Amino acid sequence: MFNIDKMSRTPLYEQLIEQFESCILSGDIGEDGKLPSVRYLSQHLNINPNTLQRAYTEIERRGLCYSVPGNGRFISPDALKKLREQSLSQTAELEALVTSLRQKGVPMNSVLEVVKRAYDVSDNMERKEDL
Amino acid sequence: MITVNNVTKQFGSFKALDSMSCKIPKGCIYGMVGSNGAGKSTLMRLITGIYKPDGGSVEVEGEAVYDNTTMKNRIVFVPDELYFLPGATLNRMSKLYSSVYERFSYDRYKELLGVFKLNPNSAISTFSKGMKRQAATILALSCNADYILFDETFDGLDPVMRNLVRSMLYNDVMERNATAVITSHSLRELEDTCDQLALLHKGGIVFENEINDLKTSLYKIQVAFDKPYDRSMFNDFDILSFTKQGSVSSIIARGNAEETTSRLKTMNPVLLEIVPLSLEEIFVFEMDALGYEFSDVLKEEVL
Amino acid sequence: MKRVFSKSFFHEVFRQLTVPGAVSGGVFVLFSILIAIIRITSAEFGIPSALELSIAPIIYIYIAGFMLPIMAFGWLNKRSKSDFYHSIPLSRTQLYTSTVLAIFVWMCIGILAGTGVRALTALVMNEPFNYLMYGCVIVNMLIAALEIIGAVSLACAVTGTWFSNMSAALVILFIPRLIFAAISVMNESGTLFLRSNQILLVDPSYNLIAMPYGLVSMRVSFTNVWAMLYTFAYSIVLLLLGKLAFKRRKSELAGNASSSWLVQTVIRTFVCFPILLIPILLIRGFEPLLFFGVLSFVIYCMYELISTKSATKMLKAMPLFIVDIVLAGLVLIVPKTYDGINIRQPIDASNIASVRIKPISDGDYIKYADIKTYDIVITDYDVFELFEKASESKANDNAFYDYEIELSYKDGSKSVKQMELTIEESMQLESLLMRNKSFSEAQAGYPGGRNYYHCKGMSAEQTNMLARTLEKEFAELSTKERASLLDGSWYTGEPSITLVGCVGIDNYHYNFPLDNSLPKTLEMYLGFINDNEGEKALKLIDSFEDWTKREDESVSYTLELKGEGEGSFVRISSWDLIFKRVKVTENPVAETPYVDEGESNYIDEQNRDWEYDEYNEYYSDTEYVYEAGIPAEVNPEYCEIISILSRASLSTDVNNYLIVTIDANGIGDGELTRAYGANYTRATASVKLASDEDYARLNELIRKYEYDCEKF
Repeated sequence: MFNIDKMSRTPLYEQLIEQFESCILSGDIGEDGKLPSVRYLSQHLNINPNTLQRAYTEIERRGLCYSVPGNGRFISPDALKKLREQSLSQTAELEALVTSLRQKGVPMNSVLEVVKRAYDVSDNMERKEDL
Repeated sequence: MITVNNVTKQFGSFKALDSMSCKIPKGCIYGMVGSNGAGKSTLMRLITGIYKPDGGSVEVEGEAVYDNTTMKNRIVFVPDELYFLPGATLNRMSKLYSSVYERFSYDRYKELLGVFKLNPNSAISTFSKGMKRQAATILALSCNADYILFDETFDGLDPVMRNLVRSMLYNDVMERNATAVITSHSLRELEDTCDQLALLHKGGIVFENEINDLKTSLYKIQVAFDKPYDRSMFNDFDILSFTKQGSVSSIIARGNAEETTSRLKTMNPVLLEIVPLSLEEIFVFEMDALGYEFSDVLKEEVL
Repeated sequence: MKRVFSKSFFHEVFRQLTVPGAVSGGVFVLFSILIAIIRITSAEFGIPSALELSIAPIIYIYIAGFMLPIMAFGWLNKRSKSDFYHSIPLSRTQLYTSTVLAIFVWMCIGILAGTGVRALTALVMNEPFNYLMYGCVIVNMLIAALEIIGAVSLACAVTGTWFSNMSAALVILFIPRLIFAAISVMNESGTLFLRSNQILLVDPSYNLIAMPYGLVSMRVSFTNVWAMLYTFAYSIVLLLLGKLAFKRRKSELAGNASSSWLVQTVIRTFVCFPILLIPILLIRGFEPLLFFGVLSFVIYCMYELISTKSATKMLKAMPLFIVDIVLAGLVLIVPKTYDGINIRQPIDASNIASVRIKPISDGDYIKYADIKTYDIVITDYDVFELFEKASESKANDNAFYDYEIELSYKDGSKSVKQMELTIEESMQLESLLMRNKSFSEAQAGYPGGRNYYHCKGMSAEQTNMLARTLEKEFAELSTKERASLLDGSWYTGEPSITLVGCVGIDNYHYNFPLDNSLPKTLEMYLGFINDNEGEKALKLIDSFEDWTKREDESVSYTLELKGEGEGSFVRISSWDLIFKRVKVTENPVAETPYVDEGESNYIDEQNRDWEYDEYNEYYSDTEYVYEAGIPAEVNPEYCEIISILSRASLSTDVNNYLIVTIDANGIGDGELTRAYGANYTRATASVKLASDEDYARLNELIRKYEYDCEKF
């Protein structure tokens, strides 16, 4: 479920947040699903628990999860929606970008190529994901 | 919380610490890096209560540690130069430890023995250097201290052992909200283990920050425009370094990456790529900005 | 208790000290046994004095007392060790007290083992021994151990290297007392170390460690309670100072010479100080002062250089040597400017109701009567006056007799004083005291403590029987006779029977002559002699001729005669009948008669004479020959003495006896020697001569050869 690359230059904290988000998006953990505890993740991934705590605090701040004292953290009911909204804003950005490219005379095929490539890559990445 | 307040420590004419201040919150895993003589070991010994400050104060939870046995019971220190009782075995050392550290747990000791696979009945003097480090670590962790100080301890362990010790440290942090202070010559090691990092040089802190913040505070931007441009184009940005090759420039910038990115986008670049920096690179640039040479400050990189 | 002491750390230090503690203790035990055996098998018969008994333990205390603390606190000298001990949750105080206690326990074990073994040996071997006095010595030793531990621990607490540890320890232990001693030596009136001066701190029994006895005075008392309390208090002070210094010690001091500039200066200043004092104290002259001054300066600089390893520091320290010179000057000059401190309180005879008197022995032998005298209450006013006069006079340190007196005043109070009396005063006191009936009776009292007897040549049983007889016979004598016997307690003649014994902490020693002042004992003694060796002695007399024929390298046949009788014999102690040896080979350098051949040959002749003499000398002892029968060289009158004696018979008549001892000794391995038997033999007999003529002739011969004899 969680694949952390310690060698990567991306800070662990950011990787964690990305991983949480992709977990939610992929539906591996459903709504009101319980997120693994800091302890569990720290032991399994051998990561600094403070870093984990911080990451959790951040996604909680973003409204993607909520914590029940004594019980753990659970995915918020509208987490999926929120993330999709995020991606929606990014899609809007994409549209603006494509428009600008079109205005500059970039053919649509080139743009589609790019899109295709991106999806291919992410497919590859999905295949690589364990758990 | 460990509070270091304008601490000065001198040995003869050599000033090891010069009006240094920092705060180490509870539950934090605090890393310190710096060249030899920067003051890391001295600071650790002040926290442990071996030394008394010449000026300023070092307090743990508001109390000075010097000759304070209540506080010392909760602090454990593994120094760079290890000492064991002459001819002692791990068992004998554990007897001494258990008699002076109130929270010493034999169960934990035995568990750690099993994990590290050391013979508790052979003389520690016959161990290799790495094994001695392990022995010291076993004894220290068995004390169930609230404050764990490792002075270059990781540097002498192989990667497998490092992972083990690291996970035990995490365990203590989670169980007891233990605080750890670790020094190392290896930035890589500290990066993996710690959540806060400080760079010491000549008795003072050059900078300290959360590792996460450090890693996100600086980043490299590769940008290209289809029109001629120079550095002045980026005067609104907080830039540390700017190199241009052809139409592509490499910029080291500070600030919020997302914000900077969106701002740059409005300038319609042909190429825009954000590249995270390694901690080492961040250090180089930060110190450069402060006027230090990396090699002066961080000698003897041990990976 | 938990705050100041850690039981587990105590165990840890105790364990760490096992090797040095056990080894030093073991060596001490072996040494004690060795000394005991040597003493028991030596010819000397007596009770070991406290001083003698204290030498072995004090050596142990010096060695272990330096070694154990320096080893136990050795971790203070290395950073890594020092940091370790300072990082574990033990308070400074806990570290210190646990360590000090562990050291002390080891030393107690050592001291008790060594002294216990000594006492046990004495008990098992039935050696004359004063156990109570030894107990006092042991207590003193335990306190001394505490003191040395305190001093060395303090030294370790303020210094950071082995070298400076040792130096500081030496300074702390010896310098204060050295200064006291120097002051009193310089103050030649000597009143500083009078017993009656309450500042008796110069007495070595105060603070046993500091001055190996003898530099100031040979008087060491092991039974002075005040001295023990003083030393104990001093030790506690040192320990407390050590604890204080230890608490404040910086862990980073490890490896550095000393904790502060002041400490370093003090150590450096005093380390070389004794050298400056040597010329005055020992040599008593000022000429070598320059030499010793320079030597002292060199040591001063060397100490700084070696301890700090810094030439700059040494150079900076050099000017401060002035302090040494000034101090030496003060010590050497100031005491001479005043005529001693005499703080004796004068005694007022009119206030005194009674007094009890006891001579102070300091572990030497005193008269048994004197020991008992302390129980006698004296009310003689003349005695009070004597003490009053003595207390007023300005005494010097010549020929003191020391007394301890307990004065009871008219108002009921009491006080104990130490008094020094001159010879005249003490003789006066004696005669005054003899007026007291109890006192004069006590002079004639048989020693009633724990008694040990020794009689040369007698077995243990025989000695016992002689002792019983002696005691009985003594009781039957008149007071005057008894007093005179006891008075001659140092009779050195022979034969005699020796009595040593102890009462409480005091020892006494008597030699009773075996002559007709004690006839019954003498008779028994003579009988024993004859029982033991009588026949053998007679045989030896008869074998005189054989002895003269022996082919030994050297032979001696010694005759000892002691007698009591009508013919008033001279008591001859030993009388060698020496043989002359004859040269075997002719001297090749023939002796030529002197011929005057003119001056030119004079030198040749001289040389020749010289060679001749040399040859004679060289060969005269190695080549010899005897002739059959008694050699002509043996004086025929000697032979006559022998033949008179061979006619004598064994006897125990106390009014007419002659004790004959033959001591025949031959060295060699010749055929004839071996044929005749033992090379060394000795026997004694008590005999009566055959006739009056024999007595007369023997007398005559002895007179004639008086000059050949040693008399006694």
